[in-house]
Amino acid sequence: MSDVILKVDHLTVRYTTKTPALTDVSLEVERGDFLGIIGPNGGGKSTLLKAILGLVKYQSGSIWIAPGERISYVPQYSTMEREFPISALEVILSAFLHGPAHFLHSFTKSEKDKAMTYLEQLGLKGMEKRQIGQLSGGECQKLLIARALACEPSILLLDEPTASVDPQSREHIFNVLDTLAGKLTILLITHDTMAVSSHVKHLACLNDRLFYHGDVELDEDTLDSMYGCPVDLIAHGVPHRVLSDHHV
Amino acid sequence: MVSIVCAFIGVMIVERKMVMLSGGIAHTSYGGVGLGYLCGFEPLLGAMGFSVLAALAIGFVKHRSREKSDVIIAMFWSFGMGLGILFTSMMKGYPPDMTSYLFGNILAVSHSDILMMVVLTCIVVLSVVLFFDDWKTFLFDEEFAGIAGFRTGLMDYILLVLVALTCVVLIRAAGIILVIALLCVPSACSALLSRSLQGRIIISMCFGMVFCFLGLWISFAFNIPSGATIVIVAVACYCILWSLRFLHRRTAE
Repeated sequence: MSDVILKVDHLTVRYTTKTPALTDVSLEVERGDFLGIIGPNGGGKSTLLKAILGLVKYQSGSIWIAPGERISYVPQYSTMEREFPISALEVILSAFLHGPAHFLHSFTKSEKDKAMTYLEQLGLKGMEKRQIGQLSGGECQKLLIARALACEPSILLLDEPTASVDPQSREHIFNVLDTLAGKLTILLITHDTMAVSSHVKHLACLNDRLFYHGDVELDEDTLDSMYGCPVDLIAHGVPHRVLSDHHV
Repeated sequence: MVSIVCAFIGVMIVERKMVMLSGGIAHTSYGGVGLGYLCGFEPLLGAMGFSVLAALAIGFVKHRSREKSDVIIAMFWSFGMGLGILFTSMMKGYPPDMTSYLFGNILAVSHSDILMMVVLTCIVVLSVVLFFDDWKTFLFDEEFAGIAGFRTGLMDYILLVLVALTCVVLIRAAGIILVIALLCVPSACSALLSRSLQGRIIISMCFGMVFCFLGLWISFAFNIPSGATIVIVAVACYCILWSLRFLHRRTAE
């Protein structure tokens, strides 16, 4: 039997009355899945995540999340307010706040210790006192992942966590995701086709509509129809292949 | 006292990039001052009513429509000023002295004014201090706060109302026109010196006090308007600080 944790059913989202961002998208995600979501820019990948999070209103369809599951979201670090006077540790601590209001709140020692373990997990030990503007892009991205993990989610949504991130950080991020895979349900938006082939379990392709949902092995026709033009996702000289061998 | 409210709200509005919005709220209150004079009640009460209404209305429009918020702010700004002028011109007899509201006159503050300022200051400071961690999370990442279950829409409105109340406290001391300066200059100075939100609030409180006392002393010594002097001192200090930091960075490199 399958243990479905998240179900998106005939979802349609329109930002303006005319152009749809998502049309009739249906998706089922099983517990412990590692789903990669690819598709062209403006194809509605981020919109799908935001709809799941309840940040975007949808016109029709439904989204079902298994009761009691906690979702956490990793935005792109470029959306972060890096001038804001907050330290790395304080960013993690903010994950421990739930619900509408906290009267005369202060964080306990054990919460601070717990926050430190999350920083450590993402390789940010020793940077806890730094203001976030003093971190590099990759470090900021890792900080946002640490914050999401500190929420102790059962479903983790990531929006292009390796976009414009240095190679070491990218490596680190995927290592962390690999250790989480299986324990958490992960939905990963990415342009990183290498990551798709070597890390994720299933793949979904979005361009307004859902074009494909299934195993990582993709055939070329699907990709072509999704991007609207032939795409070559094969990286030469690299052991990972997104596509299986060409069938002639 | 003025510097205390400035510090708390000033740092928040600078971080949230709503300085112009605060300017709009402050100027709308001019209509309230005019209405107060026309109908014979305390002008400062009128100012409070108008600025709170303006804050709520700006918040409402911001949430509901895709209209550019600076356009809306400009409309409130001039609409409030217009109403104020209209109300005072409708008064029979000799028009009241509106310049003390426009430019501030800290030496002409009455006992009832002070009482009102004390109450409003307490409201503003307590609402920030008691929920400080919530505010910090909200200001840093509203989206995240929303997912964590914060009532972000409500917090946005509360912040706008706090800004409105702050403007009322400042009107007597600095004047409607100079309110923005008192709100943003101390926090801009503190932003040059501190990297934490708490630190910025404390430092801008100190700056606010220094600006006010120094400005008052100069205005008293040379017999010039207090509000204007305070603002000029503040901006001059910011320039000096900025150039000091610039030189410091140069030599450090």
